[in-house]
Amino acid sequence: MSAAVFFVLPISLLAIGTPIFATLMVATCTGIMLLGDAPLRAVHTAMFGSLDAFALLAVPLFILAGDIMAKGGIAQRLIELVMSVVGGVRGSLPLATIGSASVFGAMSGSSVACVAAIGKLTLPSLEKSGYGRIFGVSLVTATGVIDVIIPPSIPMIIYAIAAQQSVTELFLAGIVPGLIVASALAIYVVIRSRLQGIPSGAPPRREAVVRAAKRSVWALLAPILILGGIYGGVFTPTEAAGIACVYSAVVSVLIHREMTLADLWKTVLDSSVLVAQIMIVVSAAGAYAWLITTSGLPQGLVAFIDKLGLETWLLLLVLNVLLLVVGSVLEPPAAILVLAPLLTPIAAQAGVDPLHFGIIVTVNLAIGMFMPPFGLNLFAAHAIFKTPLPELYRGVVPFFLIYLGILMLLTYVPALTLAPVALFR
Amino acid sequence: MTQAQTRDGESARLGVIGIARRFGDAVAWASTRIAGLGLIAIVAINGVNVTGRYFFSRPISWAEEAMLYLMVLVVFSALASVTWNNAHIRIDLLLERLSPPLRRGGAALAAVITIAVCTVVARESFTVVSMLHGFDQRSEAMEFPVWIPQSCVGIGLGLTAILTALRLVVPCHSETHGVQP
Repeated sequence: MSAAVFFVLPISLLAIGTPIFATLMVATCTGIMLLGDAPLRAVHTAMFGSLDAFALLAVPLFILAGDIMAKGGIAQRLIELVMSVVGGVRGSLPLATIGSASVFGAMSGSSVACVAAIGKLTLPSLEKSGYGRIFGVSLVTATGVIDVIIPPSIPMIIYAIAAQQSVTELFLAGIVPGLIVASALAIYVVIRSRLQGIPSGAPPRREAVVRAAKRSVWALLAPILILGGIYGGVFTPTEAAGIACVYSAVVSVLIHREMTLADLWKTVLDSSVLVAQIMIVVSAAGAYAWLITTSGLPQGLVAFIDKLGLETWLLLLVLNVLLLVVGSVLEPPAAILVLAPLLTPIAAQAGVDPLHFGIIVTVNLAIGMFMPPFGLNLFAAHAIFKTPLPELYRGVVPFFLIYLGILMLLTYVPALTLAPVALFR
Repeated sequence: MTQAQTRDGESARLGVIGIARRFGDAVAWASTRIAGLGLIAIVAINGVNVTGRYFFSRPISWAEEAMLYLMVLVVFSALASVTWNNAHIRIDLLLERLSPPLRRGGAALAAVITIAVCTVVARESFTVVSMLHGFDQRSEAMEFPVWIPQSCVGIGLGLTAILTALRLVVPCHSETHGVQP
């Protein structure tokens, strides 16, 4: 009966196109009526309660900050700066895309905003330079998920809340994995550019770099302010997200003058709709997760896995496959809220550090965001750049394999995630 | 039935659809603006709180509570706009592979399920809110009546049920299928 309520029913409802939040609410209500002894009123309390977490406030604020940065000229200046520095290297344009996405990721925390912002600015040049549209869109799609891995990251915030871990420590654990992803992608695009025989551009000129650096000085101060504030203990991640909103609005409207107050208001309205799209799923998933937890399913699952006597490496492999599959069909926030109560106790039982497991979960779900056929970024790129999905599916394969390799490395070398945390403790 | 009667019937139907569309548009317009103002208020309170704490050693004691209540307002208010524009996050790749009649049937079934579950939970929400109102329960920091922020859940889900039902009679409004960014 539990399996039917918790898995078969939601999958069937999702298959007919029921919104995810409604699917989770139906599963919760059905579970309460058939399995639990709580009144239906508990659904209201659980939905309200799942939004009642201060750390979760960072999500809407980072979404807004990311939107303002994307539309207010901050992202464009970052690309200009990176281009002026790496312009002489073979593969400079894809490198600039990766570099800009990494810096943007260190400011915004929203992957779709990253795909839209960086893609719109770099894709025309990538096409013009002979990289091809499919490669360009695939690169942007796969690079956009760096935003999920490089802190501040919205899925990391949600995992930290669900697994009762420190957001700041999880952010620290995400630094090295983010840098590894960026470096691996950079190596791939340089090799590919050489094989494709794409000529290198003009070597960087000092004046051009200085000019671009001057133009982007306010943009570069944003990650310093946000990450410096968080790791320096000055702000909580939520406060930093709010400061990022104010900072990006002031820079875009008053300093860069690339956004009017009317544009800013429109951006706020767009962001509030995006916030509702994501947070209603978080709210409903919170109720669903509450029911799963109170039903005793996690304990049963832990006991079952324990009985199987799997080695830790094999268990992690199985969990990776499960997370990849779930990540390819579910949004990271919903996937984390549904799976964290089930999987965190299993990982803990096997001796996996919860922060390390948090990074494994985040990287898996990040890969899921561009994993065919359902990855969210694929749909975002398809909608924004009008690229046919089958071609995009083929285009992201090399990036998918690179990410898989990194996932294995991060899964089996916990020091890569835990060493920076230990340094700051 | 005469031609004139058919025309009258048709224009009455179009009139009902027009009213439904205007109602939906108005609710979506207003709810987005309420959500936008809520988001700005969160940013403002956060900014004042951080400034007060670090520069004047005087943080706002109720800031956290107010921002959380505002977040609930933002989410359940903009939910109406998300519903009216059919922009809920969903996975309908399977649905897209079906024949048009089956697809329409699946979408209608999904809409009916959404209406049903939102109505049930909204009704339960109003029971909870009535109890909180009756007890005059207040929040810790602001001593704000907690039934007010809690009522956002019921109102948001109630509007979602109504707008989803309206979308069944106003089918051509802002069709946006699939997973939305």
